[in-house]
Amino acid sequence: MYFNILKKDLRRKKTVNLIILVFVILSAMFFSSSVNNIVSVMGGVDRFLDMAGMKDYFVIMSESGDGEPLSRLLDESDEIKGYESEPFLLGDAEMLRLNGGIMENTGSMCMVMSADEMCMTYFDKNDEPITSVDEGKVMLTASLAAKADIKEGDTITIDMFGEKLDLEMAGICKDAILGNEMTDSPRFILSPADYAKLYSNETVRRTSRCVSYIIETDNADAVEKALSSSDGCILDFSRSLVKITYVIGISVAAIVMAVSLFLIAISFVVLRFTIGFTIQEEFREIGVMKAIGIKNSSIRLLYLTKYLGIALIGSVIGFFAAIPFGKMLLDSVGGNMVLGNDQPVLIGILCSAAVVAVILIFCWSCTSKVKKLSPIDAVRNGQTGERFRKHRSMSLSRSRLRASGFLALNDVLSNPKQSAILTIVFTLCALLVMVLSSTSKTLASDELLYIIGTTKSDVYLDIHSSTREIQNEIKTFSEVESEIEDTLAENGMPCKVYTEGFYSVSVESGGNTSTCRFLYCPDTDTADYVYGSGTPPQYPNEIALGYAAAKEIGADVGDTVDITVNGKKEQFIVTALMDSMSNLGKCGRFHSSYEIDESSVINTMAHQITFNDHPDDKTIHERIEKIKDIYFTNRVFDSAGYVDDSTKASGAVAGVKDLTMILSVLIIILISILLERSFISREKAEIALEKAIGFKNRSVIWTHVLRFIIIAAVSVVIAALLSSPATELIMDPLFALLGAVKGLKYDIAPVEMFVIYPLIVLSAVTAGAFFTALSTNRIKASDTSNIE
Amino acid sequence: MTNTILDVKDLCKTYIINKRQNNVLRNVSFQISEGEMVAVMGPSGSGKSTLLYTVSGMDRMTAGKVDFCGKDISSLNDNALAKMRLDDMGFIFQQMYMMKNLSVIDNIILPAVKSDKIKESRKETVSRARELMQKLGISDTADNDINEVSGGQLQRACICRSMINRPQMIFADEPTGALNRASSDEVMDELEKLNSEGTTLMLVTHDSKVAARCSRVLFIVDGNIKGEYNIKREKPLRDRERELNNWLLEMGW
Repeated sequence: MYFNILKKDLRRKKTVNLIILVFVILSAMFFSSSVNNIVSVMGGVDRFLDMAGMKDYFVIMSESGDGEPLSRLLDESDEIKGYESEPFLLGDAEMLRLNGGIMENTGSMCMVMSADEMCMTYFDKNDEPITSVDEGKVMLTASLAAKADIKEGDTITIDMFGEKLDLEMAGICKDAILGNEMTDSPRFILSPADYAKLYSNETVRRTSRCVSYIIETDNADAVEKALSSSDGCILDFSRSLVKITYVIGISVAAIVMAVSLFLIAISFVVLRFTIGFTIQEEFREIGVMKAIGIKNSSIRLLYLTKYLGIALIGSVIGFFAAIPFGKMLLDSVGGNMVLGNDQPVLIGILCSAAVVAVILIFCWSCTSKVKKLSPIDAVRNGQTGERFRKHRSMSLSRSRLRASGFLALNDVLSNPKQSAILTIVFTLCALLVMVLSSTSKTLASDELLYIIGTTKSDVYLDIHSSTREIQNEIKTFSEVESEIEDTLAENGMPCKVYTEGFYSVSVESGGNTSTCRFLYCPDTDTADYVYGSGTPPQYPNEIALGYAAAKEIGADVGDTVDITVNGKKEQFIVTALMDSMSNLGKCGRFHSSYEIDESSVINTMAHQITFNDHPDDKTIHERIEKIKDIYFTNRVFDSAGYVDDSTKASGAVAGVKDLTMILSVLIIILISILLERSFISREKAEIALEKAIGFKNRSVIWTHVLRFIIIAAVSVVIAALLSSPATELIMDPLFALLGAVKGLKYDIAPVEMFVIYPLIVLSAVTAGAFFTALSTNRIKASDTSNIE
Repeated sequence: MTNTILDVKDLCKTYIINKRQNNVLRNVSFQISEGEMVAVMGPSGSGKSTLLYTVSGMDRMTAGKVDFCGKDISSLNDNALAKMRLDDMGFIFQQMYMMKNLSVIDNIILPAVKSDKIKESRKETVSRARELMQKLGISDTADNDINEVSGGQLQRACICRSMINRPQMIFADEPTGALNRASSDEVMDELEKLNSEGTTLMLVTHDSKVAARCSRVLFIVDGNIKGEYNIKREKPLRDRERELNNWLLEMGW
């Protein structure tokens, strides 16, 4: 009998069972792939760093300075267990050409090295270690190849101070330390012969020589101390800091994981509805089973068997679907990494089994309804004789609404639990997309200018060729800025240019030392920058300190710290703490009146250009194109574009947003179909009655669709109201990782958020409900005589 | 001379079940005039309800012709049929089908709210509904939930609903089938009263006591009208019932 009942159920409720199966497949697929993804990315960063040969500390030193070589200081320290080094040439975007034209999205700094001098391990596209590169060929960082659309066989020209090499792109390299989205500085691996040609140039040797050190130590302070005694530190990362630079990849994986958890939650809601409806519809069968003496538990087991079957089939399909899907996600999360985990199959099986187990537990609790049905239900058509429950909540007599509108609204209000659950589901779907939209928009807006450590200007010209000249005291900042001003004035764009410089300093407080990157610009007012707490520095001996740096050395506003800069130690008062993603918060700012040796600058931000004639946005964008042509670079941005380029996260978040949008629409459509089918099945008698008393088919359909539209409209309004607090709640911790500790003002695209997304949600709901409601056409007025 | 309101000619209705043809109605012809109250009787499965639903446009006929108020309903599309059911016909079912989320009075006024036949305000519709309820003795149940009233009261509410758009004719499918004897008598009293006020009725019943209240009985067997019996309504009900039973016995009931 059990088998017959199940067979009948599967045949009668084909669509409903199919949709449940789809939800189980999606849940299992997302759960398996996301957990695998998280495990791969979280554990994978360590695994990748180990495979690449990363130890405890990574430092890039310029060999052009006069200071003591870091290698000697490391040799002298007892705390340093060992180190390896690899020499390279530090260049900038202007020295690169792709097939004779501009190379897009190169980043500000790039490294050129020889394949025979590598101490780190770099991997090719098949995750195999790169051991050699043929003469005339070059391998380059995966992220650059993707962003600049460089394919194997393309010609890459490296032109350093007149030493020009035309090389064929031979493949990508995966760089564990500097190859991810946040730190990406393109690396070009050349054959020893090609590298030697570049190195033979005297100017190149004098200005561009650098060495990266991979240091093994249990005491990071020992490295900090060595660095404070040595000039020319361009970049330094502890292993833990390198791991944080993968925050975007991990965040994207976490968002995908959240989406999958959300999907599972939706599946449960859908299951709850379906089981509820199924049991309600089958009061007669259940009553008869009880009348002939079948126990509650046996009846519940019957339903459990059915859902076990669906859950098993769904999770097996989901498990296999998760393999390609997980790979796709992993590629989007970390295409620049050698990712993977040791037990992907086991994790997949465990996740799928967890989905089955949770669904079964959920089913068991849902089927408790069976207990409430009695044999008398079979006799009394589901009516137990109790007449206490009020159904209605509105009065047609007192309403001004037309019949269909009234029936729809009345149904929504008369079934508060059902309406509330649907509202929550639709709200969450809309909210999820709105939060991601706001995040992606914020990441590509000038709201985040302050955490990059700069102020708003009309245009940002990101060229760094002059940095080397400043370092070598060929030019000063003022001279570089004047040259740009003159060039732009000659081209009809009179303007003021200023440039933020980065200086590597050692900050010490209470015995703790931190190597920080300090920002300094003599042409701006230090008070114009945004600070999280305290007051802006007002005197040369006052500084602002990044939250991460302050935390590392245990300093706070009002404390005095020792800073080794220009080779001498000076005392400064910390007057403010600041949010910053620069060097992941290990940074600070000198007052503009402080006098610093400009040649010790390790890097610069983009040159900030403010036009004298206050042009409108359209003119600014026209001038951006003009400046690109003048300087033969595509690294010219407006303020929002500069933030986007600096954070490099908006693209990834926008990708997740689009994926979530598609999934949300899919979920909304599936739920609308599933629930509308359930409603039709439950309300067959009422539909037949409506038709019998003269309702046209389209009126019946409209009533049904309108119910969903009302709920969806309420949902999008709630989602719009909650979008701002929800974005802060979810995204503030993520931005805190990027350096925005105190939170930030999120940017929104009003049309997208409050018009397009609500319309998409409403359209998806309407489409799902409408196409399902068309099946009411099959219910005839004469069915009133056949309905039980 | 009275006008014909329903003219049925050679009506056929065939269902195909599991590739087998089932001829439920076979060349049925009859007429109903304005003001008549016609009962359709016959054994189970004889096609009584199918006849009622087919001639009222709730179900499509396979062949034949049905004219209602001079209109050939086989030529009408679904929307036109729905409009006809809404404006010109009233229906009473064996089960007291009501919209469960509406009060008793809201169920009654629903067809009037939907229809644009009678131009009146919502207040006037409600007032008319209350009058009907008053006439049928259920005015005190107006604002009750449909779960809160008895079966007899509910069936009378269904009669009110069928009357609200002042239909040309009311079709009733075993209107007393789910009621006890007392409630059944009450409902039939109301239907008879409606008929005496000029409303045409066609009802399907198994109950000769109910049929005896009508002016004419059509006896249907295997999809054919086997006989027709005119009732002399001036006679006492008990006599009418006895004579009808005798006739039904002759017909093989």
